[in-house]
Amino acid sequence: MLSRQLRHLISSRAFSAAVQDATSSSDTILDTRRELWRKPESPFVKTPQAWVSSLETVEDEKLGLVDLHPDVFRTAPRIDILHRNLTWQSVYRNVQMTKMLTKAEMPGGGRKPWPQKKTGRAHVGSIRAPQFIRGGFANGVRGPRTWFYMLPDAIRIQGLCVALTLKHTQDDLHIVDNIQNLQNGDPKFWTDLCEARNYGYSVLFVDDADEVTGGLAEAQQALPWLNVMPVYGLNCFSLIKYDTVVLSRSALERIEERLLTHIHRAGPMNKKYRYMDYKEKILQEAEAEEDPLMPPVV
Amino acid sequence: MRTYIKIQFQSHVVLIATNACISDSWIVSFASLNFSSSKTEKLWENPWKHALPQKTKTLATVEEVPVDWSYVERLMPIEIVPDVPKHESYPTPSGWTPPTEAGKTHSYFVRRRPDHLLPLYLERKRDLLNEKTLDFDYVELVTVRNVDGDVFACEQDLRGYLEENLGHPVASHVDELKGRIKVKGAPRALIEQFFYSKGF
Repeated sequence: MLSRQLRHLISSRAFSAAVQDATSSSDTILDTRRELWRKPESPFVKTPQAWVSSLETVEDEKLGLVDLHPDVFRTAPRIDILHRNLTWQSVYRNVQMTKMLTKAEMPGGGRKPWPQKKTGRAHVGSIRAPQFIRGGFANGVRGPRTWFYMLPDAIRIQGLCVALTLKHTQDDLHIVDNIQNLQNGDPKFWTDLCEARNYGYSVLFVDDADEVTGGLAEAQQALPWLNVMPVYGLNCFSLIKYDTVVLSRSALERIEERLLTHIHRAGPMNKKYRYMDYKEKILQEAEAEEDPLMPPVV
Repeated sequence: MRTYIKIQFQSHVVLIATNACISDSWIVSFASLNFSSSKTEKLWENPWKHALPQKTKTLATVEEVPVDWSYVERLMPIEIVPDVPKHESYPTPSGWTPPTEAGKTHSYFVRRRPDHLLPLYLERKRDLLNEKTLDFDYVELVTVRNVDGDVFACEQDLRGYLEENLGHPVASHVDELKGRIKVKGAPRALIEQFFYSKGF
């Protein structure tokens, strides 16, 4: 329902008009306002806005203003919920593989080392008893142990909204019209661009598509502080990790659509997650990584 | 299942009874074994051809039938909370009222939940130990969420309304960052009535 409406809106006026005008003449400031789906009726909620710029030039050329959905980009700054998300992201994948052997699992030690009495020595039954050096461990670490747990859906959705809100209110969220098939792939150009626009130490580009081609892809290979991510990979940790987050217009539409769909989802939000069901997926998470040099980036 | 296969062989008709299901490929191999192979190719020249069952592909043809799916579609699960349909009069038999324009005139605003209900939540919490019965007392708290604007003004108005109706003092707590008010000692129905009367 939502996607249909959004698609209709995109195709009808705002987005298509903006893109067409942007390609034809970049001098005029465009009105890229759009209708927001289920905008809250509260008179205290202001609609946040962001400039839409282009990545073709070093200078920040403003193409227009775009309205952002208040439910996503103007939530209460719940640092506690953001913290829960960050903690969960760092912890849920931890697996402890250490396994300290008990005296039964150590080799040997089946024979009584010396008679029970009349030797003047301690009464012991095995050289692998825990009081022996090179003995087994009585209360050791018994892996594999997992810290897997799943945050409730509502908390994860709210965490993303909070992170996006914080980025936007701190002026670290930028919207660009397009990041695919850019002309210039020179690392110097991208360094200058980020310098001229005060992007900070690290930049994350987010696009709707899986693959990015053109100049940004080349620059991303050369510059370690510049990264590209699809919308479905967006997460709280990355949003906080990178100084600046740059969304493309299509990514913005997609993020809002997905988050609003889940906010207005019918039925309960407390799905049960068991490690058993997700174990295979988690363990094979990086299997499809094609690049032999670069590890999967979180 | 016992099946019979009729094979015509040099003007004799042979009936073979089989226990298993016999596919077309078996019949083909029977036929080639008996007469067709004698002309072109001997059996021993290419034994694999006769040993393995021939693979045949059958592609299904698809025909689209115009069906009125509207009756099926209404059975599909609802994914997004739909908008509320228009009712003849409010409140509805269940007591639900839509938010009105009067709600936007106050210095505070209570947003509805995504399912169009008021964000009032019940909570039961353990209180102190009752020394006479040696049982724990429990208190019932009502949490109001999604309060925008001046949360303290909302709390003042709510508490005044409740104390006037109940005739005893009511404890309340405000969390401004989260936009929440907790009320102790008041029924949820009365709080709901207050917010409906304010137009939220």
